[in-house]
Amino acid sequence: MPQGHPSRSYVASPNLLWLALALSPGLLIVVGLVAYPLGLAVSNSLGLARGQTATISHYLAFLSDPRSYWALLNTFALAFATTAGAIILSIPLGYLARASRRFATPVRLLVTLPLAVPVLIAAYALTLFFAENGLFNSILVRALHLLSEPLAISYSWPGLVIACIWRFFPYTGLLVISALGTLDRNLEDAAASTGANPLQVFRRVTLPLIAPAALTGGILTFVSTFGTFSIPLIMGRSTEVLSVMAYRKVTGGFDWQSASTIVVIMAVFQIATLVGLRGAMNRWVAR
Amino acid sequence: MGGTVTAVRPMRVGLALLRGVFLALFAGFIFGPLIVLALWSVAQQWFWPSLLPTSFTTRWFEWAITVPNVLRSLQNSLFVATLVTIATSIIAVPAAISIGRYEFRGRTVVRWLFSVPLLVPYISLGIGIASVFYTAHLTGTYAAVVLAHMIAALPFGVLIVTSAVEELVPEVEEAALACGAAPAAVFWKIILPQLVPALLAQAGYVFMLSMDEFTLTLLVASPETATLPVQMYGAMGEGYLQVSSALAILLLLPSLLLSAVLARFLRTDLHVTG
Repeated sequence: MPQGHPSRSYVASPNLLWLALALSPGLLIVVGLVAYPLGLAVSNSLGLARGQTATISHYLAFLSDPRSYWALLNTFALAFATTAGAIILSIPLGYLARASRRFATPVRLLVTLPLAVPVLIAAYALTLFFAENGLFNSILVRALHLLSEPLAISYSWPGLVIACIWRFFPYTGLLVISALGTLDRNLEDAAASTGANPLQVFRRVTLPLIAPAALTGGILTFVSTFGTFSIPLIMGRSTEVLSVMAYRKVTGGFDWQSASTIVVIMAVFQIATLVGLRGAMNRWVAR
Repeated sequence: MGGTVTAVRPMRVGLALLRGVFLALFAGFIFGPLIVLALWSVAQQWFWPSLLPTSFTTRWFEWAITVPNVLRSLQNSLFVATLVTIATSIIAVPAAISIGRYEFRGRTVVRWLFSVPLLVPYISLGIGIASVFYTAHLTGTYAAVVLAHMIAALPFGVLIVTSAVEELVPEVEEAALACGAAPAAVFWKIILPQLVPALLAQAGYVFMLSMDEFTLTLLVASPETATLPVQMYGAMGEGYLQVSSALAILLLLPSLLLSAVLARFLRTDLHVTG
């Protein structure tokens, strides 16, 4: 037995009946309520539900409708903007957290807090905070006199990105902060002592060292934003994304075929993104 | 070194100031929206341009727990979350122990199957089960809501317990077996007691997830079976700012509390297992 798996030595022959009993209810749920509905969505989207031959007409209809490819574009743009924002926000937070013990705890607590807030509540709280007559604007306009007119952030495209960053950046933030905190500072010091300026140290030494963490966290932020429903449902008044569009197909007339087409496209894009990014990251790490 | 100290000192001060300002701005960004929510939930009057509410009231919370619709949604939430926690524990714990403990053919596939719900967008799961429940005439029933929540909860339930099972130190069980304990006694007296923190963490996490679940519930519940988040969304849509804020606070406080407890719980758990 290899040293790594000592625990397997005395349980080599599990009772098959016990295994079947223990696993079947969970598998039944996964197969019956996840795999089957997803398969049904695929067959719905291919027009198979009514006993007809397979057709891609629903996909063609989706792609020829400007409203839906705008929604597709919006969904991707939102996910990329949020991920970029999350990485850009996380790096200075990481520097702050490692600068001194005094900063490390508050930064970590602040970064963790949004994770404990249900997405729906986060969306609502941010809508109120950034509303035209909200606290953010009254501080800028009334208290600090930095602006003469309140900014319309809630319900706008930037507002949507800000709300997604608030709720989904911690996945990136926690990993980047811990990567910056644990990397070997001697490498940075060596680069600095051989004449690299701070920017060069960051670009040539620090950034490559934290890139795997930023990418791993970035994928989580990306996927969360790509699939998010509650935030654009509440904040995206002018910006339609795929998740909300699928929901509206169902509530406005029980159009399950169109809704299925949209969610299948989302699932395919999400899995492709996950597989693609993971492949790119593995190549990058192996390099 | 000595020569550069005087040149560095003003830069140090500037840097410290910059760090403080950045931390303060970041804290404002994180806390601001939550503070606004809390203020709205107790605001009697809060009109532009006043910075803070001009008068306060607890009326919205009283409203939230006395208005029949809202009270029912709160009862629905507690009822559904309790059922979901019990059912998910019964299903997830044996599965997690099997995956974490035994070597069997298809173990990797089973492990992967349990995480499938995490791979696809949440709305895809939602539209999928909503259409299945719709054709099965289950839409709007408590069964539909409970099953929907279980789909969302199961992957986490299995993950939390599996990782705890894999961290158990096998020598303890081997010692018990070597001393003549029956395998069943080993399970009940050795394995299970060690898993208690993980089981509690699992139950707490699943309960919280069910209380907070919104997307799937919106798709499968009826007004009679709607949970608190769905009721809150309705109140938002109708523009009852203070009421929906009060409901949000009612949901948020236990959520934050439980997260804090779980974070401590899981951390001590990690300390115990090394």
